[in-house]
Amino acid sequence: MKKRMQNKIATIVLSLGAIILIMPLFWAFLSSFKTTLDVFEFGLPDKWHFSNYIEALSSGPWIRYFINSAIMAGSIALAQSFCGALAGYSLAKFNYYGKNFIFAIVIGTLTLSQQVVFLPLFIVVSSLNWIDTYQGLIVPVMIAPFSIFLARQYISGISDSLIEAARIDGANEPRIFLSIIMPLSKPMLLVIFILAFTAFYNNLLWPLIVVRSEEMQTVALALQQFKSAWYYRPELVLAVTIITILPMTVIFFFLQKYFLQGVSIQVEK
Amino acid sequence: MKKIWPYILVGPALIFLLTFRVGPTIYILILSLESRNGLFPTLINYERLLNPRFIEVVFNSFYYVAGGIAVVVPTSLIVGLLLDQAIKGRGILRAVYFYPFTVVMTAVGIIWGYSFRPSGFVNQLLGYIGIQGPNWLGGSGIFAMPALIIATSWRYIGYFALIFLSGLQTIPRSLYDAAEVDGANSFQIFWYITFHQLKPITVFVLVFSTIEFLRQFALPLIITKGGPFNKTNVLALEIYERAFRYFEINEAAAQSMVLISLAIILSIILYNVITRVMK
Repeated sequence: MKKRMQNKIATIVLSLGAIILIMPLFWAFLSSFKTTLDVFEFGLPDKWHFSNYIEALSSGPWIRYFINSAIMAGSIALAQSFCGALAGYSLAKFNYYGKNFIFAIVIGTLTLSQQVVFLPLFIVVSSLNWIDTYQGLIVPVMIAPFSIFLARQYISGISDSLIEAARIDGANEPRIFLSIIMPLSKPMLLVIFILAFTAFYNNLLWPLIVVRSEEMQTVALALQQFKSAWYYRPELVLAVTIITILPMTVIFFFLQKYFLQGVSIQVEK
Repeated sequence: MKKIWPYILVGPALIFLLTFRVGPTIYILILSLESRNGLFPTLINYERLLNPRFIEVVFNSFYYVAGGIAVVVPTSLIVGLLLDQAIKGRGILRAVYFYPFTVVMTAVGIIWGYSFRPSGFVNQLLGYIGIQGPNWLGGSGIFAMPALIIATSWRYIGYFALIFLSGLQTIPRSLYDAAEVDGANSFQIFWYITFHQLKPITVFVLVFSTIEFLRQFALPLIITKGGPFNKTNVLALEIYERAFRYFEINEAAAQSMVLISLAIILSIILYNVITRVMK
């Protein structure tokens, strides 16, 4: 009886919290259909101005921006999961000279994310002449210490006897990696992929530093530029804002399970 | 042959981390010790940091981080604990709380920037319950940092709540049963079992929320641009402006070293926690 009461209270508190949490997005959604005059009012629009969306999207090559974001976030996510798994396998399943030192470098650089070392990274990118290119956007962030760490933790949990059996059967390491480690690590690979994709689709600082031309802009960057140029039309800014949120929302809706799994994989040690 | 495989496997990652993390960090250290007219080594860039403006930036960063932790950690712990109850619609609630984490940083900034306008929707809602909201992002600027902390926390609370939730779900049921048999009250159960078992997770959340607030760039840039009166200018934003607006690379390098040092301190804490947990 007491438990039931407790659960009811928990449900009510959590639902209220969820409503408060979603409110700003809901407001933005409603306001994106309004006019410049009533855009900051809270409530349903008097008339739904769908034309805001058409007007806003015809301001620039938005499809191009979405493709750029997809190319950038997709390649980074793919590279981070594959390279993470390679290094994670080495750190989890072998004993060798210098391993602890390498592991210390991985943990030591865990907090030196691209947002912390963006100035030195910019200097590297510009000395490679990679400013305003896809390789400039992708290569310097292709490997993340965090994904190596996640992969190492996950692969540690794979049973040694499977690997030993394969070795006795004469399989070489690349074969073991591809036919045992990779298939068994699928949930972990997916998690790294999703986390990295989300992080870089949403990231503003990195494209802001690397990109110069309009046709290389990502969604996050284009939205920032749009806001500066169209500050006097907040309803259009909000329409574009909603559009930029949409792809991740759809992805999240369908892959929810893996997003949430991603969180728990980080916690299991 | 067998001995070199682990090196080949870890090689790409190691070379990469040295080229794009360790190397550039050392390079920026050298740049920070060089004066604008080529004098090396010199501490002049660090001496320049000792002006009231930059000291305020460091103070702002600490304020931002401390305020952020004070909001995010307890709130996400509470949400995590509540989500751990056997409640209806838990799946939906979990998804709703996580959802802000998937929103583009720029969009988060734009929406909260508009929401905190003097007649924006935050003040309209406060008006409904009879509170006259302040001029959040303007005026003398004392409300700007709290506004920024709320906006940033909004994105991370659900994420960290789910981290806590996963931690809670790894606590063995038998511990609770044993405590109940022993006649422990609910406070004792929370303190001696839940809280104790959650310690490593709490440290993880503390360190990672610190990092998120310490390196935050997009939200201060979009919501306040560091204003009013430098009140929300934080490290990442200041370094960006120094380097890319004023082109004072050497001074920006010295400022970067401050941010990097703080990050490295966090890494050392993390390293200690991780190696302890793994043993």
